[in-house]
Amino acid sequence: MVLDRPQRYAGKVVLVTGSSRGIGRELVLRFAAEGADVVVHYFRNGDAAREVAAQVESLGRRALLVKANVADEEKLNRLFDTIAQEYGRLDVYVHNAASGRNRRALEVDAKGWDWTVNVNARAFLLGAQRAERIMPADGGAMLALSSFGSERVFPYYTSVGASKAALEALVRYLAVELAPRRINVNGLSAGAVLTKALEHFPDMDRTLAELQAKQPYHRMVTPEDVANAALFLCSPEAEMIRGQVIKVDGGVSLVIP
Amino acid sequence: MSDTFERVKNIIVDRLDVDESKVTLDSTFKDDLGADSLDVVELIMELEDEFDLEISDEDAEKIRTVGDVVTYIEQHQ
Repeated sequence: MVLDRPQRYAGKVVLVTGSSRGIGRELVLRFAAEGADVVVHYFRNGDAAREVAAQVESLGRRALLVKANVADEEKLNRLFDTIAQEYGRLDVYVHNAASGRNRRALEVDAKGWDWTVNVNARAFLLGAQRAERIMPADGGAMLALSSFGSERVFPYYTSVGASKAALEALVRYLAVELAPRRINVNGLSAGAVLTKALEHFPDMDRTLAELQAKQPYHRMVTPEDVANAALFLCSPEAEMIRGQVIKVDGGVSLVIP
Repeated sequence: MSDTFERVKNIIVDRLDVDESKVTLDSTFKDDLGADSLDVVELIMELEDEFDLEISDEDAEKIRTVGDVVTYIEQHQ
């Protein structure tokens, strides 16, 4: 299976933040399967991250394992310093790590807001500034993982939704500003993908059941679907798609009210 | 009282802004010390730095009291 994959990322270095589990894990493994040396970044799940790094190495690729709280500017800087020291370059920066204070709008406190916005949006801004410095002269790619909460309303999703709206705006600004540097910046909004992240939201079972009943296509989106789109968006084939947030949702957003 | 407990207590007092006398081995983070889930994440980050170890999410979920943390640290150092 792996041998059949094109080697679009041979000779490239790819960072996927939050790559110990879920979508991030799938992304980093797929980049490695297509030839990239990777940075497996994690925050809370060291054992899972080490397992991912071992899988990358079993594909014959190099994995640099880095733990960092991306809400902390100093630790985020250290992540990029480590990449610069170990690889000397970065070709693709995928901002996937996310967190959130899952409350109703009237119950979100300042601390929870700061935490959510720092992890989900500010980390991409500051990370992009650092990534740009170590991307080659002929360019690279950045990709931010967003969610429908940026434009739609879900229960308890206030702080995450608002942070993702900020993230999508950052994608547009960075895409324009980094275009002369030949760095392509896009976003990807995957709707509800069945990963452990969903367990953190109250009432998610009901929300998912509603989505499932309404979706036009016969199945839900998987991490593999997200990886298919992500690897395309970070490749030269997506050169003329710039500053866009692409939906990977099996068409469900077309029919939900 | 162990040195580990003293160091853990100092971090809790500082991070959760609670009175030192409230922090005992039996105090629960949620009910006795008023910590919410984000407080717990931040506390764990600080404990990991202080004691140079990793507390996984799975292990962190089992931690209820200050005594649980002290035992965990002493067993994993």
